[in-house]
Amino acid sequence: MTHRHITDVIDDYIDEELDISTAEEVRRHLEQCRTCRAEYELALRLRNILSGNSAPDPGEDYFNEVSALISAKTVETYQTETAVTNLEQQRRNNKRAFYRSLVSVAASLVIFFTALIFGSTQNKPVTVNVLSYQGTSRVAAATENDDNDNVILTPAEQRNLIKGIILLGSPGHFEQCGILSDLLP
Amino acid sequence: MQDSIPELVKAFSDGDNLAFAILVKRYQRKIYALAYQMLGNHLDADEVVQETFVRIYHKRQELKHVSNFSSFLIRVAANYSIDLLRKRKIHGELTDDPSSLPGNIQIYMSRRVRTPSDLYEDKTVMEEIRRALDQLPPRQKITAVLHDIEGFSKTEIAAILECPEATVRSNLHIARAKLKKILKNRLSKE
Repeated sequence: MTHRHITDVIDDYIDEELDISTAEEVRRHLEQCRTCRAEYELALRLRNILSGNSAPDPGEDYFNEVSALISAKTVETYQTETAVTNLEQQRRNNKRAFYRSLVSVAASLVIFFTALIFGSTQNKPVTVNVLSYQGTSRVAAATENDDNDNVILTPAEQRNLIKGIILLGSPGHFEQCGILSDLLP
Repeated sequence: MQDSIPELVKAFSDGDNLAFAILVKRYQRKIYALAYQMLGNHLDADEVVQETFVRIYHKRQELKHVSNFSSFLIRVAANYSIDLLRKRKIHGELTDDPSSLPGNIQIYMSRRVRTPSDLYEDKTVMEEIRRALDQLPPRQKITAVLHDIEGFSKTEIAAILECPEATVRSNLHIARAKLKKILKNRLSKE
């Protein structure tokens, strides 16, 4: 075994990682060779000095404190985050439920008024009382001239009139409906 | 407290916070020692300990697929130490300036030595080793610290650093050769 060979395997020899026969060969060489023995002792001293260089002990109090800090940064933060997330989720759900109910109420109202308006015009003449208006209008004038009953518009006219009112009317309806024509400048 | 590490790790990954607290207690000294050897001061070592466990907590779902928790934990600590080491090389290093340490930490750190001459000798040796280790590149430094100071085997280091065992051997060989050269005077005194 040469000096060069020994230098290569000396760390493995100290770490006891060589097979038995090679280790024995190294041991015998070290007994005879002063240069290699000096190399071996240097490596061993380095190992001892490093292994003896333990980190200082900051004490039990420090480690208790660190455990508490880690817990605060992890477990407690996670629990708080979870609680906040749940609360936000609940708020979102409540908001969604509120909007849903608002839409339902609006839809119900639309249906109700539509039914009311259309229902009131089915096979039933419109009377002056339905479209009563205090101001000057052609509707009122027409009523005064009618002796038998208050009918002033045919069902088709009523439908058109209502449609006109709902959609703010076409020019024809503005003329027919005194209320709207009076409101216009 | 009688639970084995795999049982604790399983319980922790299933959401048991008590198991996490026990794991912190069991490993915090080991992580502190490694970080201190790598960074050479209490404040950085403290940061590594806290950050390592915070990272582990956030990676708890991954732990179900981890076969060796200890290696995984040391890897997280080693990687963070290397990051911090690189940062310190750029932005300047911290030291164990007594005024920057809490009172109880100073007391405990001074208790590890017996006499004033021991204190001086220990401090001198530690400082020399620290300076020598600081001259190594991060990968060689962590390999030397893990093997020669913390006592991990080459196979364990290969698992921790996720590299072939041959790389560990090579890094260790180069690191030792450099350390021998740097610490020549100290070694001849011993």
